[in-house]
Amino acid sequence: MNSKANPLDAMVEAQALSWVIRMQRADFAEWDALTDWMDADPRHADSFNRLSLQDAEVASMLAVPSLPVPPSPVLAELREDTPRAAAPAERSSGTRPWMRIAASILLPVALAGGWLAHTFRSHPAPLRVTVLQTGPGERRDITLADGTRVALAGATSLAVDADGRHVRLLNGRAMFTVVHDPHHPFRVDLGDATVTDIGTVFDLYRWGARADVALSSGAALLTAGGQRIALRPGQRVRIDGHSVGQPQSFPIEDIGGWRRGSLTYTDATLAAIVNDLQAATGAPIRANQDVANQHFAGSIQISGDAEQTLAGVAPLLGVSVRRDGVVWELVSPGQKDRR
Amino acid sequence: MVSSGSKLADWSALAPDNAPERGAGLTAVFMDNRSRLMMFMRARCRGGSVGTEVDDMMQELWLRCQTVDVRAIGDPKSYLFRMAHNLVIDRVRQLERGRHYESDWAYVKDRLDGSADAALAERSLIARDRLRHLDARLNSVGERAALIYRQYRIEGVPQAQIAADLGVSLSTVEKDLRKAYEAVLAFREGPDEE
Repeated sequence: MNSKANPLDAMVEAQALSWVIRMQRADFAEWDALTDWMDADPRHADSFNRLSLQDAEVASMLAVPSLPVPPSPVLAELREDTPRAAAPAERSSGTRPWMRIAASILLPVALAGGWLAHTFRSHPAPLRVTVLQTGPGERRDITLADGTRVALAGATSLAVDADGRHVRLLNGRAMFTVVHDPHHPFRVDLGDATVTDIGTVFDLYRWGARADVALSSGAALLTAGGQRIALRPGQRVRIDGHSVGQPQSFPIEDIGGWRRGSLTYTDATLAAIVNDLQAATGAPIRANQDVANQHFAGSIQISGDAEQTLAGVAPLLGVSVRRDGVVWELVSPGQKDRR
Repeated sequence: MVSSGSKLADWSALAPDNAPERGAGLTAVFMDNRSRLMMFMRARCRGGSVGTEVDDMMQELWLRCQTVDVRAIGDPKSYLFRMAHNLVIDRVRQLERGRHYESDWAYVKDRLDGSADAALAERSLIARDRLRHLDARLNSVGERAALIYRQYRIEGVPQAQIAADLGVSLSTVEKDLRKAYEAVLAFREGPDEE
């Protein structure tokens, strides 16, 4: 920032940035303190306004999923250096060497393609974590070193610990076919909830504080909100923040159906469905606020690109589709031509 | 600097009896917090970047309050201030747009709709180019910090949750976030320097 040249301006800028970062929290409530700070000096408000505007624009650019993100240079590095995977991880020697460790927990075959995989050392324990990410519209099947298979839907982030038996679903949808080891259980965390496998195929979904756990074969133990729930095949549990639902029966053939492009809902808002459509097609899709809270039960099919898919699903969802620049918008049927 | 409001009196006349049923709750919150809101708006406009349109914005905020169903809101006061904040951002954006037209991403995005194909392709290229630069900026702070920024700012995951997810300390998350924010916010001022 240009104003950094002046130490006082730099201080104002740093304070303004702190406010911008804190304001992002959903529970931010220090409006009076913010007002007082801005009131103290006109430069405060100026700096805050400018950074807020930049922040809003940057976020709106990064949130549009359809524009392709260049492949990570780290990945190329990772692929080239796979044989040297056992090299010691040294953060201090720059960003490259510690990335190589990622390869040690994944079969090399898992690393083909343009997606992201990167590793860093956690703190304070000297654990290494690899984060695997798919972009919107992307699908990946990976095999962990123990033979456990993971199918990743679009816009999904998964963190894998160094031993490959502890995984955290950060965001998105993934189906696990776990190689069972009674002495070393496979564990997946979704926020505060944990799924422990007892010889299992299960499908997980996470969006912020909300998560779904569905079991298609074997047995798994779900620990969430202080409860321990033994899941049977054909059962699904919904988690919303600290509240954990009862296991509901869910058609086994529909669990993990997203891998064939089939999404089944028992009761979902259009806002949640739009999130899935974006992840599956890679196109920016939103629900107009008039319809975002409508509920839907049934199956929809992802077929072809966003335009073809939306043409097929819109009648089922009871909405019309409108194109707003690069963004597809679901609107109530009468609204299509209204600007 | 701020032209004082004859419109203030109008709000008093409107509320609360004449307020439509649906937004009655939030207009009540507006009335309760009117003076703090006014201070918030005035403080933001003192620097001169927003002009002297506090009264207009208060009026618009009042109108928007009437379309909001308060039952769906956890913390109405915060919601109200956030609405006010967004309103100011919109206003600053409008003013900025007048200043540098072509480089404004939002402007480009708005114009994409209904334009001729060639113009659309060109603007889409500009947008892609800008996004590539932005992405390079974000990635320059390291993969971990970039991931943490995306989780926090784009996905809305709380910092403590990110720390737990990634197995890093909260202070690491804070430091990474700051680094990433500084990188991407510097972006908008100097897209041509790259």
